[in-house]
Amino acid sequence: MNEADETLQIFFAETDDLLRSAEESLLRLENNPGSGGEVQEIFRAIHTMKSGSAMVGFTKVSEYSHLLENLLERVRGGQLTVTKPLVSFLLEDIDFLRKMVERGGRGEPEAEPEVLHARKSQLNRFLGMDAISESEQESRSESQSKPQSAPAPQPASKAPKAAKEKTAKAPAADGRRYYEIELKFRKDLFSWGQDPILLLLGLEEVADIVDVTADMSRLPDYESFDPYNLYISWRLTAKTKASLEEMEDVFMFVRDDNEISIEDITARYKEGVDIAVGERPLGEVLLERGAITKGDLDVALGKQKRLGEILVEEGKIDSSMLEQVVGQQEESRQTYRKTSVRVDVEKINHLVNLAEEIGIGLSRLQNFFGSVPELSGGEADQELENLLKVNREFQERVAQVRMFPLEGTFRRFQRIARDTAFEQGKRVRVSLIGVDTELDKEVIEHITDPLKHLVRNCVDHGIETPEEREAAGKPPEGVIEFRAFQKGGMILVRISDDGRGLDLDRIAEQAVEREIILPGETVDNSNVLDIICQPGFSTASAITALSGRGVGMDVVRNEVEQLGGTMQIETEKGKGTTFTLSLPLTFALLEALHIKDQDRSYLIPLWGVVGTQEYDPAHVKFFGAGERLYTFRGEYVPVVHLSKVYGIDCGEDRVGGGSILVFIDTSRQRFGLLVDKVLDPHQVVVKSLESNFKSVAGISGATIMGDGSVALVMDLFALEEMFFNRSSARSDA
Amino acid sequence: MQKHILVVDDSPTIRSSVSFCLRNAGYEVAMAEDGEDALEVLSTMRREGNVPSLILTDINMPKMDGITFIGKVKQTEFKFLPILVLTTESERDMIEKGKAAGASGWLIKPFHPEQLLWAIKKLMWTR
Repeated sequence: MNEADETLQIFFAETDDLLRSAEESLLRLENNPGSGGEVQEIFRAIHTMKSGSAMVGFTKVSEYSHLLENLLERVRGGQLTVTKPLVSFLLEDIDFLRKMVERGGRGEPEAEPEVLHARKSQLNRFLGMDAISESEQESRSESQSKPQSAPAPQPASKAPKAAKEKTAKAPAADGRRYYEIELKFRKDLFSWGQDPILLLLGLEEVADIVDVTADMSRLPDYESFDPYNLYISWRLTAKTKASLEEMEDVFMFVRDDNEISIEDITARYKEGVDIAVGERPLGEVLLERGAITKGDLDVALGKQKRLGEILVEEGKIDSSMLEQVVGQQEESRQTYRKTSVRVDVEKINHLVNLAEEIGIGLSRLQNFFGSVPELSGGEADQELENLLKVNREFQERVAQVRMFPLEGTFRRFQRIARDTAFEQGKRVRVSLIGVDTELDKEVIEHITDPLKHLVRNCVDHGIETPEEREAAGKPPEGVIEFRAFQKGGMILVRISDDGRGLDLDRIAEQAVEREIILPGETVDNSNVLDIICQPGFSTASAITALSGRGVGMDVVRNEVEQLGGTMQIETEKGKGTTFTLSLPLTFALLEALHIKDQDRSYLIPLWGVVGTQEYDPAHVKFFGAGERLYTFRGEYVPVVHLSKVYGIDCGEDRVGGGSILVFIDTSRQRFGLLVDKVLDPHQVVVKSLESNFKSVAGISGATIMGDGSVALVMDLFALEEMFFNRSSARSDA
Repeated sequence: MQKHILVVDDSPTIRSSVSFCLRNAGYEVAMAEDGEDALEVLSTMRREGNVPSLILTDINMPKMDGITFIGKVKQTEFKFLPILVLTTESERDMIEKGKAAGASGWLIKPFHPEQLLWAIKKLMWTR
């Protein structure tokens, strides 16, 4: 006996067992109709039959088991009650399946089409109370039983899906297209049993790699290197005849949980492709290729009529109307030509940098003037002051060029919300507030995907169905509101729904199960975000076709935090959920307060500074082991020496006189930092430490000061975290 | 040396057809009937020095289901092993659950031998 036959024999034996056990369970169920365990047993048997039979090619058996499984699903879910007729029908079904397997085993067709059809109609009658139409079932089973159709939507890269392929606009001469592939994996990819090298090799099988760049910037020094983590990301350019779907198939298993993007860049890839063709008139291109002569072109153009002329000829409009509108159009175009240009964002960034360099130069000059008595306070000093002012405005203006209103982004979300709601039979009204609010283009690009995810979340899990809403005494139409507004130096983007709110009890259960919190700990607005932002966290209700596959909440929050923003959540059962993203206006410029401590320069983002005060020991209350509270505007605020937060040894507490307190409000927490000196506020361009050096906790970047020294820019949120962890660690001790 | 693959499924038909396909492709196959059984097989394999290179597991199984099994494997030295989940069209939500537990990929039953080998190739060094 060969192995295929052996598998078949095993299948027969298994069928026998499964059907017998289903039969026994059914009989027990008849005597005890309330027994959920028996239903579960039958369900499992039929379910196993379904996949087993399909694997050995008994498609009709599999198909019928599938229908039966649907029926049992309803019994299991309580939508169908166990009655004598139902039990008898199911018993007949078991005989029917047995017979089909026997026939198939003898090499005959599993069932005569008429018999199968009759049987199915009967089954549908049981299902029939619900909306499954017979025609739908028929068409589904037909497509399933086609001999060559792949059994299920599978990763199979075999069949080229030509029909779905995007129409090629400008394929390279040999029919190949160029793709840009960005692979940014999550750090813990290895613990999913994934290996990036295999993925790269897989890619090589479907495409020629033209160019690869590995981004090592996240690679830490070897002391903090964890070999179980992945720090490298890749960007590749590939040339291939394969379709986009075939390329995507390579990343099938990792696509949803990692940042994988594949973009068709054929149109703008320079090798052998004339990117200008699309922008030029057809006649010109044809002429250049020698397909027509200049004469042909002129004749053809002479025959062409303008739309306006045709309409006048047909008497739809008169010529004065035509003239008027054409005139208006021309005027508008003139104005447009005068007022807007398209500029590569790189050029603007360059300007931002140059303005900064000028600013540094001017400041140094000012310092120098200050040190020469003949010059300070004189006319030259005045002039310099002026220049500095002009330059500051210049920096601001350049930064503004990068700003765009949020309107376009919001409109897209409106669409997504509608479509998502429609697919789920929900009704949603979207309201947009503050669409004129402007944000840095780069910031907008980075938050688009996270926001998209939040919008889907709102519709998927927030908004209830019209029936549920009415039952809860709400209008059947749910409301999702997008609101953007400026607050201090931050732009707040708020997405709220009036849906059911997050199920905090359920989240707590899951969090305990996953050991994120201890049993007994409560979940509320203050910690729910931290829980749902754990990688891979999802409540069962949080998995649907839509949002279950996109990015996770952890990715959303990371993206926002990387921009220097924060995220907050407020949810109330039955009332809805609000996500608030606080985002920096721009990457380019930061208003910051220059301070010095232990001879080190720091910059505190000005938006977080609520006040400064000379340190007065009379206002201090000591708590436990060195914990200090300070009265500030009638409130007790914890204070600490700045260098201590950063773990810099500053000897014994020198908080006698002379120290200055800077009070910080991150909108989550207030705290005070003791520093040596407070200098002037500055407008600075922040350079990333991470890309130039390495990431440092509590520091978001660095900048060069007027005197040429380097100042560290504080990351207030990270600082806050370090501050409060430190205090709680202490009070635990 | 031949690579070992552990197949976990309560259906003997699936076990047999999958192992038939895998053996044809040159792999050594170990089998288990459910999660509990699989954990035992794993520890036996380790004692004998036949560590698997990949695990294929069904989800819906008696005694210990596939999700629990994956969770347990993730607590052992085998936590970096690629795990391919076998599931059915009607249980698509299991893909998400499997991934949350640490599965590397999934395959929907019934599948073609080619599809099985294609998925394995994505997760395991085959050359």
